[in-house]
Amino acid sequence: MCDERERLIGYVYDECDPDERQVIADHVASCETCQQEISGLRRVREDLLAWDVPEYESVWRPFVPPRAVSWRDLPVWALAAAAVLLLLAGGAGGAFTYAMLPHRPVLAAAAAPRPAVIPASDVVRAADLDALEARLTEKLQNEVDARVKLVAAHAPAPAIEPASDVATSPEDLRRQVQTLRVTLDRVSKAQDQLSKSVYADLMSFGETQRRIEQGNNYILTSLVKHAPADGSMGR
Amino acid sequence: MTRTDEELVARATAGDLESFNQLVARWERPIHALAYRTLGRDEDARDVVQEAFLRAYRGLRGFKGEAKFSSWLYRITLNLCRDWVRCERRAALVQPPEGTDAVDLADERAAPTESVEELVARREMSKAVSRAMAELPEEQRHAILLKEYHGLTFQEIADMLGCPLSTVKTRLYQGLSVLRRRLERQQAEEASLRRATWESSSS
Ligand SMILES: [Zn+2]
Repeated sequence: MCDERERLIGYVYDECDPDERQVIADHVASCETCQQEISGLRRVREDLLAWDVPEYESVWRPFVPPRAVSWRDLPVWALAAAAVLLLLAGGAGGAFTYAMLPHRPVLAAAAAPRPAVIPASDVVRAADLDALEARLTEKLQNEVDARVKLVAAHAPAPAIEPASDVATSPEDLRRQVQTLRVTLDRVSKAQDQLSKSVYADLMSFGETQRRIEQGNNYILTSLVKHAPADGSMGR
Repeated sequence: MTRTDEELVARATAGDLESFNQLVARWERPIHALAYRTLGRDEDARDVVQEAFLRAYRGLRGFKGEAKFSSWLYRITLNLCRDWVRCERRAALVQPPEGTDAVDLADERAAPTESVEELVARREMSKAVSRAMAELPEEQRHAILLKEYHGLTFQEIADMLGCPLSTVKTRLYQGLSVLRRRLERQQAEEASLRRATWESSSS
């Protein structure tokens, strides 16, 4: 026993079978060295208890089930914008949805400057939605401009005016708005499908990315199909 | 009715987010404690808590239940802590823990019966333990953390760290022996320091 002191560990933690326990107990009863060893181990275990940990308050921002924040409550343009954002976030993968909501910085971002810490709360707050809305609006505007140019570039030359062309009559304007609305409607339908599943699965990177790509294809296809058929994007 | 971890894992895997939130609520404190005692900084520990649960969520489908959910979480946490120290290139472990100044000691008394002297002694011991632990080799430190502060069995630690059960006992024995020598030496030094202070002030 004195030569294999690791065996005392099982005894000290009371985690050895009864036979072994008895063997050790018999030896220890008559061996002063092992008695000291055991009391030393017990003492250091007691000392270890002094090592305390700072007060902890949850940093976890609970996952919210899809129904708590329904994408249906958002206006059509927001749904369309969310689809656009998912496109943009394709490279970033599923981190998108979680990252849109304020929370503590994660490990991956540790090297970057840390944003102010926002305490966890139980639900998504109205302010979060407002901020989301503002970001979506800006992204939507940029992305729609970019998409219009893209579609224009691929459409038959006579059908499309340069993107810089401005509507000259109320009739043109009305038609443009109508066109845009149809486009957004298609996008939002795709996004509705997408978001129902994506939101529930929001941290699943691979799956989310696959769906984003599907959504991406769908949206691109409908945009490209739509513009030449209508032939009035810029007029 | 309280669901077991396994039940909650099954429900979370099937898409029940609330079940996952419950798992977080149940385990975030132990995970924070493990990360704190590994990294020595509360802020880092909190970041690790969040990242550990995000990773757990992403990996939930891959968790086959061959280990306990908690062991699986502990392993994720220790891996994250290792990456953390590596990425940050910090000597995180040799820094004294934050918040160990004597400023707000009065608020932190564990029991109303604890005197200020006892409290100071306990805080001193807390610092001494964290310093001594930080100097241990990682495998000994992990074994001691999981055994002493998280109550895992030898077998659970062996499964988690991927080593034989006898190795776990050896690591525990060696780690505790080193800690014991360091802490005893430190206590002896403090005692002689107190004696010297007393003698110089009373002469
Ligand atoms: Zn002996």
